[in-house]
Amino acid sequence: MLNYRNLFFWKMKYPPLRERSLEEIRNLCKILFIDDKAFPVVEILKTAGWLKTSRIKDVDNLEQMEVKEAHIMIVDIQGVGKKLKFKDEGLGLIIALKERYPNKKVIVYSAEDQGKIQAFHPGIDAADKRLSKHADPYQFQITVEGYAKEAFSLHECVKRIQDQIIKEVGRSIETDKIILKMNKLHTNQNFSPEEISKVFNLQNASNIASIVQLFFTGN
Amino acid sequence: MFYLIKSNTGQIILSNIENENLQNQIVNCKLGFERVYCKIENKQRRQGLIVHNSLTIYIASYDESLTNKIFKHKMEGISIFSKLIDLELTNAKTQESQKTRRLKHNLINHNSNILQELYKLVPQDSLRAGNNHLELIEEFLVKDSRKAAYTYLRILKSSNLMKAEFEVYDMLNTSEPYLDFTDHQIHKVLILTLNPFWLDFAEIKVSINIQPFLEKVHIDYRSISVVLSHIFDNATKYLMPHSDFNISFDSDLKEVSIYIKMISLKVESHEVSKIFEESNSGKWANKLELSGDGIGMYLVRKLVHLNKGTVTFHANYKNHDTIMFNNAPFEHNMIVIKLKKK
Repeated sequence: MLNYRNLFFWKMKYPPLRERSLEEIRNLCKILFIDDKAFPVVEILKTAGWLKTSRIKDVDNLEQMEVKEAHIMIVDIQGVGKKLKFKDEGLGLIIALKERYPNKKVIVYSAEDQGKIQAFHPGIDAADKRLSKHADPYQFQITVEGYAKEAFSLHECVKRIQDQIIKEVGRSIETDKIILKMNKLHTNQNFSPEEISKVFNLQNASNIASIVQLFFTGN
Repeated sequence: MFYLIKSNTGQIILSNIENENLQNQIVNCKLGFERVYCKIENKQRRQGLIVHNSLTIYIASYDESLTNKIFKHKMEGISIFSKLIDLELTNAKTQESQKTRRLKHNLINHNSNILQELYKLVPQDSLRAGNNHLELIEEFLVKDSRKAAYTYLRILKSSNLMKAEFEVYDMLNTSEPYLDFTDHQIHKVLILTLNPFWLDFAEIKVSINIQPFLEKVHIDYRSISVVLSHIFDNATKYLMPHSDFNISFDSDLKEVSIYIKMISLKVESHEVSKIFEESNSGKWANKLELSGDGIGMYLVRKLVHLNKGTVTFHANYKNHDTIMFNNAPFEHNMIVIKLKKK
């Protein structure tokens, strides 16, 4: 697309926004396994290019760095959530994680899925997805890929902003216009809620801000 | 009315009698019905005993307004219900043990295949105490790395079939199985599920041709991979050696059709309608002792339906003559699976 900004690219501090490649997205996205036992899929994901995949045995507190920085958390049902003394271990932890970080994706995984008690536990519903421990590496990969793209692909991000604006003010904005606004934020490197609400011309831009901030800063 | 119910192991399952003396007296009741003078309450007591396979029920009453006849009527009522409960319990136990036996049987088979493959590669008695196990295993692997590659594929297949068993057990025994509908490239799903069977196809010299296809279907990966595993597992048993196994695709606005074409064991025309029924194996499969427990295609249809799709079997779809190979009849057969796009 030719616009005047591109013509003065030597004056620009930052090149215009473009779509991120899957490789770039893989390098950005932080995946955290919370599992008391080592599980080879952690290594399998790393080998597949998800370099920022790590595991902790349990959560000491909800503000700990690994949890705070993670974009996707994959939580075992058994053996975790003990340190924070949650009833129902991992399921209790999932509820707490989703309450504290509603925008982070939480996947619940367990060896014994489908159990009746678990199926009706609110922790199961709080999670964004359920995976069985014997799910294929492909299932783990396609799940994290889907969530990572939601957060870090320009295309997905613009789509989410469009949906959110329609939901909030009932107005639809064209894709090109949103990209232009995103470019403006990107050029100025100012992702404060005030700036975002000014650029998007919204009184309350908190939801849009969290999508935009996550996209640009990873936080 | 007082009651005390014992299991056939003598354990009290249910009772509303708190007084231990009274409990001890009542369990001494040996007759179907009797009237005794109770020294604990200094009153007449009617009591009775009902025995069924798994339950012994004692009932007693001090109510003076009851007649013997009414008391016996009540006992009859209890007897009918205890028979019903006993029957249901026995049925449930039989059903559960059948399911568990099937699962156990299949898991033992797969797992013993895995162990035997491993010991075929590295003999069990070569791993002695004092040896450096890692170096020893490495030696075996390097010595015959081709054999090791075969072992890997066979273990992968058995392990995947074990996984399929667990998935099926979960899905068939849960009233509302958890299904995770996501868009998947069906071509990729096919390749992933086909990989573990690659060796079996190679052994019967069957060449696999899969048409390139990029479209996505909206499915639950777990159940569809079980469906495909069952079809491929059957194919490795029933395909004519040295034939072709062709998979092609077609799509319209709403769904994708997958055509699995093969030259496989003849399915008699009267068997076609029964192919998706439970515990049903074909005449020729039985004759050649290739048949399994007859649950495969039944499951395939059930799981495809869970995915809001359809599956059909087309016997001798080309209307060609039957081909005889090693005294077994083969025909051009086709399985068509249709899956929703969204």
